[in-house]
Amino acid sequence: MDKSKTKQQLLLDIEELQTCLNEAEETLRAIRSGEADALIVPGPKGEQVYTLQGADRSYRILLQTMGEGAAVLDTDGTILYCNQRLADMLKAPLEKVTDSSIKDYFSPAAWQRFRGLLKEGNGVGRSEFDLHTLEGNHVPTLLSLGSLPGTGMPGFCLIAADLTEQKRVEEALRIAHAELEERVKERTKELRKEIEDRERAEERLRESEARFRVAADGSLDAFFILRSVRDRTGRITDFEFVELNARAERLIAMPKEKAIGQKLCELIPINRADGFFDKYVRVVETGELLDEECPIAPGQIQASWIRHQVIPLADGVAITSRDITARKGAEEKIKELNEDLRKRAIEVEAFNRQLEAVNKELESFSYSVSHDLRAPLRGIDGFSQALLEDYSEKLDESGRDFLQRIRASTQRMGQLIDDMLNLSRVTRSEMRREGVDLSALADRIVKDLQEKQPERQVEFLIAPGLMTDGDAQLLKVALENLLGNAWKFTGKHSPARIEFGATKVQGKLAYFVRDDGTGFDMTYAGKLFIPFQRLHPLTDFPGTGIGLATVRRIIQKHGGGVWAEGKVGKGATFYFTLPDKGKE
Amino acid sequence: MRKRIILLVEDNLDDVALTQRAFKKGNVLNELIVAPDGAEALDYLFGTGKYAGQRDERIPELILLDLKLPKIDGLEVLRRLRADEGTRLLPVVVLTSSKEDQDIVDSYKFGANSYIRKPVDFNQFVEAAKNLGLYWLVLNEPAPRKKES
Repeated sequence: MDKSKTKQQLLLDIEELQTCLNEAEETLRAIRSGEADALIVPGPKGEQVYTLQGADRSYRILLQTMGEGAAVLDTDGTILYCNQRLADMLKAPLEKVTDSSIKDYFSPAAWQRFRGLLKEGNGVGRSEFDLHTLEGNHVPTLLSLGSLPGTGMPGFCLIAADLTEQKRVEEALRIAHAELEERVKERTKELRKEIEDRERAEERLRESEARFRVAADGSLDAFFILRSVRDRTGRITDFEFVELNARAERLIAMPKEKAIGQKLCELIPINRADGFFDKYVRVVETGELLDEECPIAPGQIQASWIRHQVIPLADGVAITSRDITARKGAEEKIKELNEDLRKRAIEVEAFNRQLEAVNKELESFSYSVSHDLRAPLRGIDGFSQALLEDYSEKLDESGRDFLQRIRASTQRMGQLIDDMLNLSRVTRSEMRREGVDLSALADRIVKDLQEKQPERQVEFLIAPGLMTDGDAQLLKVALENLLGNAWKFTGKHSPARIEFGATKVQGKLAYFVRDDGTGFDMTYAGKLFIPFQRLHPLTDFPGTGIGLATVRRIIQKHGGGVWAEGKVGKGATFYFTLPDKGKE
Repeated sequence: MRKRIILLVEDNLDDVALTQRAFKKGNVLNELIVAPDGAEALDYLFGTGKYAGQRDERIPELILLDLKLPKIDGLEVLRRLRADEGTRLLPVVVLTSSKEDQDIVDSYKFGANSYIRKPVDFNQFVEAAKNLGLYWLVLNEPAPRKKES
């Protein structure tokens, strides 16, 4: 049959042999290069695996010493082989892990996922799983599955990398990152707030500055800020204008823009000439503020007197200057007026002294009148009486009448002198103020009057409890005169009625003495209070005409007023006021 | 019995005459000795000057003293009287025209026993003289004199 092989057949055989040769050569190359570590050779009892001892051994050592777990699984997940590292990861002895199912180390869900990987991924893939150790811990693991091509085995190889440390680091990193982010966020917020605050503060500052500028410009005081100008040795040689307000512009008669940056002593030379510069230097050097009023030489600034306050400020001074020219003028005027007043006071004093001298003279005159005028009157009266007594039979009726008239006249003159003296005594006497019960005074006077003429029928109405402040002695004299007059001028009819009380006249308290007597003609009301003026003939009503003048002096001395109302035949009312108690 | 002398110290002769008349009218009949000025009044009382050596017999029972007097005025006379042991207790009535408060106060301050203002009306004067004599020379009990007892 072999001989019957055709050329065609031979060619086919050659080709087959060639393929076998190629395959053998390829296998050899693979073995040499280490791509294959076992040979599967078909035999009568099926395929036989022949491993290449050299290659197998090095791979085993590699597998045993590598940091990752490694295993060979069959298609059901049974662990055919595993290295020590994987057993360690699973916290189980190696022999127990081998031949066990990998399923034992998965949760059911993880197992499902792993199986899917086995089946659908054709045994190739890589994914993270939690492996359950025999001690019950979870180990995060990266599992890499690979098929076993070229081996003819229907299983998988598995590499398990323990991710615990990586996870820990990752977690730490994550936390650190999160913290960092949080901090960044916070800081960002803070920064934003800070920026906002600063912006707001700046805004406020700007507003405040604007307000201050308005206020400063509106100020009645001039305001300067000066910076020290120093030479190389640090000595202050001048000051430089840094800032000034509107009033300051007016004071130095120069706009701000022009003044700022200029030198003080160059611009206004009196600052050096009149010692202001030295004073400012002292303020800078001692830190003590200066506050004084000073006259300004004419022609330098728009004021002739200023009050300035100099305050140390950074390296320089702040000066507030007030134009007090007007006030100084007023003070000058006041000084002049005071001087004038003083001169006048001296004049008044001199005049007072003259007046005092005149008063003294008057007093001694009064004394003489009292003493000396009465003596001859006494003589006239006494000897007239002696004539009447001793020589009565030698005189006829007419002669005796003359002597009586002489006596009446002398006695009347005596009365006049006495009344005059009383009046002058009222004027001269010093007031002694005290509480006075006018009602009680009136009661006593009325009693005296009634005792002197008990035959008269007079009804007295005296308001009780009229209290005032005044000189009791003088007020008694006044009331004596007023009530005495009322008594006298009601003498022509009976019964008479006399009233003493108080009433309001134009809102002010006025005391009054009212009678229903002869009264008087209001035409002559003004004459009532003038000394020696009488409205009635002496024959009708005796009197010297001094009484009401005395009353007026007493009331005037108290600071009050007196007036009268009356009608002929209808009685009279005399009013007087005394200053309020409270005002005294 | 020693005469009860009244010493009138008065410079106005009219007043002297009227006073004498008033006392007479008022039945005051004591001897009235007149000194026309303060100096003579003191001479009389102290036994000096023209009255030298006559002091004791002539000490008056009552002195009527005007204030306004030539040479030595009434207040000064009064002051010296009160300063002297022999005349310290003599009753002195100031009899004057003045009714100045100051005169009245001063008189009492210097030790006057009474102060009477001479009235212009002679009848009142007679009344006053009568009362004066009655009171000081009859009713009043004077201080005892050392010499007498």
